[in-house]
Amino acid sequence: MKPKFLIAIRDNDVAARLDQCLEVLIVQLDDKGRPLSRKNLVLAKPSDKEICRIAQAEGVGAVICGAVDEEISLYLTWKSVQVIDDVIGPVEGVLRLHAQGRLARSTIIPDETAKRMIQNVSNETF
Amino acid sequence: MRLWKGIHHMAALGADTLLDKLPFATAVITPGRRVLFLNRAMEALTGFSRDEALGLRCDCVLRCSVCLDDCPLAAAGNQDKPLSLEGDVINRDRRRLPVRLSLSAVPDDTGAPAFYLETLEERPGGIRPALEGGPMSFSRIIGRSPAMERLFETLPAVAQTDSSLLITGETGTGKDVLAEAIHQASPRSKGPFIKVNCGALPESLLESELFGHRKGAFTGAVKDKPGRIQLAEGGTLFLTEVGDLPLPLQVKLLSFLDDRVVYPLGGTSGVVTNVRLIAATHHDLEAAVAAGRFRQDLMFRLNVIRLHLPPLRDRGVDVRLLLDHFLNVCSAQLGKNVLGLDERALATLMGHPYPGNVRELRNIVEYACTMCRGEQITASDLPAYLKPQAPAPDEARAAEPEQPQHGAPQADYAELERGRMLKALLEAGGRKGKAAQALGLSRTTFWRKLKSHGIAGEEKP
Repeated sequence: MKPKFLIAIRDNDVAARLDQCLEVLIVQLDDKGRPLSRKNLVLAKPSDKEICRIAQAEGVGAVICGAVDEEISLYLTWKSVQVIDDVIGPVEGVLRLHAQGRLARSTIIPDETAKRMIQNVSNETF
Repeated sequence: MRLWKGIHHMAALGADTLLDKLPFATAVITPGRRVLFLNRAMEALTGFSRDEALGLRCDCVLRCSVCLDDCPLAAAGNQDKPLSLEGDVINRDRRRLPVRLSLSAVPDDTGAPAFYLETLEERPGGIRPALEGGPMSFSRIIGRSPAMERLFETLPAVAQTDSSLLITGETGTGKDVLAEAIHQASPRSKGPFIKVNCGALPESLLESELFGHRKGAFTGAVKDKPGRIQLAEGGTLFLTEVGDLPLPLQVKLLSFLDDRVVYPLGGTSGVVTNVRLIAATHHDLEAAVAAGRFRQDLMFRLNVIRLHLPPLRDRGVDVRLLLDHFLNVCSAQLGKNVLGLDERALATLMGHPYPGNVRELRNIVEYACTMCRGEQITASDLPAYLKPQAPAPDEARAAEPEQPQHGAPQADYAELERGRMLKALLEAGGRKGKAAQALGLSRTTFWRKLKSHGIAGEEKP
């Protein structure tokens, strides 16, 4: 069984900032990378410190989020919690990459709208 | 369709080039809240390149607290005037920057917003309003000694010019703070303030950092990268430790100062820039010139205006002024109620020569505030290397051995703090929360200090 990990979420995407996040998803995968359990926790108010507390209380091994303050990142690392920050993309896509062991800091998974814009803009002389 | 009209509109105007020239960090956002374009200044502020950011949700790229609290795009679309809000962003380097956000809608032919222009302007953080302005201060720099008053008199005029500026002074006198203050008071304050430490990077890397490179200039140069000089367009480039600049780069910098044109590595054409240069060094440049380590012609070009920051030992009454100032700041930052110092502590601090200047004084006050358990700092709360040789009996509670009066102050200071933290940990049976409480520190501050002293917690391999 792999260690649990926590994703800071907003709607169906990874939250842009950990300190502004109101909901976290805690997932446990089996040895083959299939989800064993997933749990959503809603916070009363946005707080990165509260998420740190939850991460420790739940015994998660990694926190996945968008932007994170340097101090919080160092604190989590010191607490043996891996920080995979600067991640942008839909939660399910991020989950899949993490299960495959391919999720790294600064991973960007463009959604359909972004892909369309990249395609269209690359055809322009802009 | 409206979006593509917007793109054509921008392309027709040559807006990408135009936006790059702006001194403000600017993003073009679609009505669907997607990033269409980031100018150079915005790339520097957020850490995202425009290619990476294209099509992404604007809140994920700009990461502004204002956007995440309550997206201001809808409000901006309903009014003619630009919307201005204050918040902070966390960039890709995990730095939190206080910013002022301005947002305005650009309408298409039908009057509906074709896209939005969002600008972020860095606000100087941490300035206490009471210290701004007034005859004894300039931004975050305070003083009432004759040497500082003379300096304050010249600063407003210096800030208004575009001349190159050389700041000299011993380590810890506040050269970086002065450079930033001059930028903030100058007409370029809306532009970026880009700092480059010439002593921190190897020569090859520094050249690429300063002047940028073209795609294919060297292995790993997969795309064009603007240098720091270009990123400072419309603002100020601050070269700290300029005395450590390698000689080959001194020639290139000299050439840039002559014609203000940047030639990126591997590039054949130059880029004209509009940048003010401020340089600082703690070295004696005249001596470096005499020793052949610094080019005389470069020194002359940097030395158009020279400001010298006097060492703290020559600033007389400023020691007391700065002491009170740092006491207020540190007391507030640490969440303590430290009101002042007792006579012995004050006499010790007033008599110290401060080889580390203002930085050392600040460190001492921060240490004393950390160690102080009451409302008044006593001599026993001071770092060991400052303590009088014969402490009073009530001060003998400090477990650490007395340190000599002079020597390596920074090392002694760190050693004493480390000792106290270890002692507190021992007394708390290894419980960090309890140890932090005993020292009157928050858990995160205690943790940060533990880390800086190499007292590691359980780390994963």
